[in-house]
Amino acid sequence: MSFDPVNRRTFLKLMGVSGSGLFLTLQGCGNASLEEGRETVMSYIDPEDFVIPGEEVWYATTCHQCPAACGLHARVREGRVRKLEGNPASPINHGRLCAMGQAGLQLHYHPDRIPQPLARIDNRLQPVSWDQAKTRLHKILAKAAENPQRFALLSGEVGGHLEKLMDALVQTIGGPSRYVYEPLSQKIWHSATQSALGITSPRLQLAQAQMVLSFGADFLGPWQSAVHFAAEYGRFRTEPRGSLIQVEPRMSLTGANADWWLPIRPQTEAWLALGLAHLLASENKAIALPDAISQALAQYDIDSVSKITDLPTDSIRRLASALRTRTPSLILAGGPADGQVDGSQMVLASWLLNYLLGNLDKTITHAGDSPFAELETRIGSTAALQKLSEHMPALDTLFIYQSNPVYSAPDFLQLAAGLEKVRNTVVFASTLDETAELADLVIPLRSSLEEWGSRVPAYSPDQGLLQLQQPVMQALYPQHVASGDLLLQLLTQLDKAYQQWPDFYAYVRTDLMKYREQARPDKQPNPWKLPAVMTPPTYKPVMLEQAFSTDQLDEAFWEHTVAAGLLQLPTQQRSLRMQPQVPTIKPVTADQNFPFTLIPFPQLGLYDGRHANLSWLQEMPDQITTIVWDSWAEIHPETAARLKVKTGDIVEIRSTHGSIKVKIFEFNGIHPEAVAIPMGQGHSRGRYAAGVGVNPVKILAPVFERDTGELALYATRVQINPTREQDSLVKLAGSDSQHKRRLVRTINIKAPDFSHPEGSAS
Amino acid sequence: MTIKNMIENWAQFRKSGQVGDEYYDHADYRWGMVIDLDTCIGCNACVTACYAENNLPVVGKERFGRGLGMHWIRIERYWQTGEEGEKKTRYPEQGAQYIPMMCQQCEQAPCEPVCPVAATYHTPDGLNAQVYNRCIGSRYCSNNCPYKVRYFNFYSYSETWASPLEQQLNPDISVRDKGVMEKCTFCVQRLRRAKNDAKNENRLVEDGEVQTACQQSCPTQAIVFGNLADADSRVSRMWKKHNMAYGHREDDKQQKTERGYRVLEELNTEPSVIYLERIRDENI
Amino acid sequence: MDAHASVRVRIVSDSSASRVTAYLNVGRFSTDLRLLILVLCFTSWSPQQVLAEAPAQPIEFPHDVHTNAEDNAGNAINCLYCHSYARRSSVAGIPTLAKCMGCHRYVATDKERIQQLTRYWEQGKPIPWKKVHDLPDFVYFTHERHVQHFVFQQGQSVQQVCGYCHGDVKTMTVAEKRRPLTMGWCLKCHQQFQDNPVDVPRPVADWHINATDQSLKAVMPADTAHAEPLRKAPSDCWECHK
Repeated sequence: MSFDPVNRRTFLKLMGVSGSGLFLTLQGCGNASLEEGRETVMSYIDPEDFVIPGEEVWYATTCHQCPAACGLHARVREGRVRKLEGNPASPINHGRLCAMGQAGLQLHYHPDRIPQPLARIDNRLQPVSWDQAKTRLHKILAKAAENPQRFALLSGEVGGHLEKLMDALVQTIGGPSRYVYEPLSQKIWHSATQSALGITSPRLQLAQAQMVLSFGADFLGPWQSAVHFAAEYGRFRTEPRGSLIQVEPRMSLTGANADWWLPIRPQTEAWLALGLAHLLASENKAIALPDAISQALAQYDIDSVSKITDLPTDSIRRLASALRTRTPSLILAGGPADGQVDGSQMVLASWLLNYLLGNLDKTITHAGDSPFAELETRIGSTAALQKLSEHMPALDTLFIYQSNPVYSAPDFLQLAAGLEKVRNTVVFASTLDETAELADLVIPLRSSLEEWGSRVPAYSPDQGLLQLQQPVMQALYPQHVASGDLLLQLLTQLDKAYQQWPDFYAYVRTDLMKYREQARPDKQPNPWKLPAVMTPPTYKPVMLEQAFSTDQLDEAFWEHTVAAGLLQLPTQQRSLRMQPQVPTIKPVTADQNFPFTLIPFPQLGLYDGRHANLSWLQEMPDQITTIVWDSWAEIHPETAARLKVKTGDIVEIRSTHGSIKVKIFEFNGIHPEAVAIPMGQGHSRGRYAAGVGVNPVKILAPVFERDTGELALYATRVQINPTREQDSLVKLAGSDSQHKRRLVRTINIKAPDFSHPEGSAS
Repeated sequence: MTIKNMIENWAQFRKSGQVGDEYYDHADYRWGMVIDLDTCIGCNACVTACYAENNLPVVGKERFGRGLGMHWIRIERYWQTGEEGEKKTRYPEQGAQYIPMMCQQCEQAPCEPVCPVAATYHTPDGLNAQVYNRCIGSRYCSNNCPYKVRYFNFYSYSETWASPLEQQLNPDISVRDKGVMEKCTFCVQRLRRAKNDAKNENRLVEDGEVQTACQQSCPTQAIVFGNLADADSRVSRMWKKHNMAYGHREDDKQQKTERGYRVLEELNTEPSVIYLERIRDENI
Repeated sequence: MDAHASVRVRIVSDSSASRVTAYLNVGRFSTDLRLLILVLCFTSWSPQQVLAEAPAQPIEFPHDVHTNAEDNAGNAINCLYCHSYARRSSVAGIPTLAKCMGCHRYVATDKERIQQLTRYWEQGKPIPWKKVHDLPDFVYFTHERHVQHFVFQQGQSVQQVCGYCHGDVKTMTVAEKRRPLTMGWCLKCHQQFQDNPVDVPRPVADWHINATDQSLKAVMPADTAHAEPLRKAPSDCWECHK
């Protein structure tokens, strides 16, 4: 059994053509061809049988563009990855892939990738050799181990075996400090769901619902698992067609696809949820609520709810009656609804509604207990960053792994200043971003298409899923050490026990072997489904059934798992239990100096800003406004008229903690008391990102969610001050109107059970 | 169109053939598509997939602003603006109206007869082909296209692939330089490959064997693609269920569940792409 | 009605930064495209003519020693043994170093050229062979389809099938270009078989070589249900222009 992944995969020399620009003139029909005798054609040395020049090979791996961890099939031609597609075997994305996933290629081949380590010498980051960098890294680590209290490790959501090693590193050093930070954290949702249902992540079965009511949860966008929920949505709309109602202060992508979109006054979603609960509870005697809750709900009568939420009583009644008649339904909360001081209460209210409507165990089911407990992804939080910034003055050494907090944190945390005081900041990054720029040592990373790894997706319809990641091509910078290998080397320095694994590949493989018996088809209630045939079927995995009849179990199990790109184990599903809780929400007191609520919304594209340096995504029109390469502030035309500004006018958006200048975009799909600015722009680094737009997160005020201490992302109040400047916005759409050409035709239907005649889409 | 055919039938070629022309009689394939606007969510996955598959350049903000974006497939987005008897409301209560727009592969393509060098022509598979090395950049085709889905290389965009980004380029398709018109090909490189694989096994391409890049990526599976010459293919069945055929007119629609239509049908371009109407529930 | 048409295409070739700009200056252009085709295709060549100097290769590989049984101690290696990708890929491929070494670890190890080869192998370096037959980057050509059709479906001899486009390689040392490989030249054959099933191209003198190998005993017959289109040579532009 060989543990050497390079030998095993045999990524061989490329059959390709080299040579620089040749400019030839073909006169009519001469015999002179183009590159004959000039171009070189290299032969392989000793390739795997399935590597054929001119033919593609597909490898299964895992997407790292957002925490959803979709399964991938990577198309490799002549030793280079050309295209990413979804892995049809993955229950997350069923072979589909979003724009961000597609653009993973651009991250892999990014011209800004750091070719060699950088170290701060004479207060300037300068290229050093890998040997020098490693020596320095080991020295820093040795010092950190002497004084563990003064060491911390910050990372984004990592998951899988890398997570395990990171935990091990922090534990071995002995410090208390592992911080997991994710700007678009789902911590509030997870924590409130845990307290309501006893599990952090139930399965949300959109396709089973007749109606979905979503409070700000942009599930078709970057809420939790975009491709998964979009696939569910496709089925939700077909068998028979379900209806979608979205309630939010600013229209999200999900809102843009709703049958009915309701603009609600920002920061008041919880009132509506509890108002609906009150209406439903008072009429539905079947599900009895504890008296304490009924009494608490009494104050959310329809008239006061209408007043607070700025929704007509008629709309609220219509909502309640739709919920009553269309069951099962599914109530979701997220985005601007849970990024509030009362965010947990909002999520709890959504569960209360689901409870009252009898949706538990119908559209919301238990996703099984994860058999991969120690590999589970630790959910990132923004509170972690807050804690880190408090801890920073006491730190000597800080490791930052694949996270860019200097860009994504609000100014009030003063992270950059704090970082400069830390003696040794080591940043592990693939490009020189805002955080890496302040580092004392920058360790360049391999791309996720160049290294081994594993991941337990945070949201999975079935928790028995482990996504596997494998290198699909030879590293572009072969000297770059894979993250897992580097962590193992660091751990070995501290604890010789880690020597038993020659590399990270061996570590992952050995560890996964313990699931081998569970994965046997005859041990499973539902026999293992072989991965769907790849298109075209190039790499045929060993059939597991056959494999178990041989005596090479380890090899067969491993080959199968790698070829499938995932490991799925049987889980036990239980029925859900919920203890309704007494809601306690407090009204937001509005400061009249700051009359608007700022909504810094993420898009399916630049996401939290990590993709701003990918040109495909910069040039991809925003789904709502169709604007490209820019930032803008959406306000309702009524607001614009009141402020005497119009689209293209530059305004200053000021909070108590800073201000930014941004162009106005008049848009009907926003509540007049809200101003929405997309996240992701305003970088100072990156050839495609630097100097484009502004970062609205910078001016957030220190407002935190009450129960979890998370940053309340959508709770900052701002004022809009016109300037006299103007600029144009570049967008795809020339017109909002179809000018009677009937390009997009809509039929309005009355019956709730309209089904597509051709049946299921899948 | 074969070269020989093209030369012999030049006059007819310029007129654009009749539907059901004998030109296609022997063809085993006629590629067609269905896009369900009720499940299309306007997420742009198809757009980016097309960039990756077809070596599309990124043109930058300034050029994009001049309408030079090279997106072979684009998501058009409209709002209810109160025209045509629609309700004009304070808020867009029924959301946005999305439509993915790419070359409609018209049977009676307005772009074909105007090409002075026959760089664009109709293949026997029903594709509206563009032969890049034949194109002289007159742009007549683009001007004559009612869907505005032909894209001209006004510049050389090689800077899009700053090294090592060029290593991502799909080797199955050319990178077009300045002066050449380009457009959606229904991923002809994938069709070519599928036909080749099928021929090796002495059979025709099976339904579902080949997917276009946009269809492949679509998270909601709003796009269905296949062979209309095969009556059992999924795309054929959908065309039939929605009472769609070449030569179909809007008046032929008989029931509300027949949601199929073709964009700008009144121009008689006979597109090979049909759309299914978007549905909104008014009963809430 | 005459006009000057200048056809320009610039291609970024696959997988490398190399760029080629080809200018096809078409002198006369009329409504009858026959002329255009003529201008593009007219080339006078004889089947035996060497059309381009063979480039200097890093190792002077003798095709004749490997394939010409009559002259060389019974070596009659099938073309597809070394160019094994030809039957399953668009490119025929240069044999892998491992394949060369499979024999030459033991065979003719005293020869200078073999020692050169062994040095590449030991250093793990690919041999920088020079291209002999090349097509413009906007052309899609697949060896697979041709080999599958002629060899595996029709049972013609491999040497003959390769020889249609590459000439009689068994008489060469390093490969030389013996066919123009222009569009008009391709169409000479493809037009013949537009209306008739693909068979042996005519005139015979232009295409035939003195093949010495045996054809396959069992071939896969064309499926009668789809026989027609499968047996005709495509001459639709988009079959080859990518």
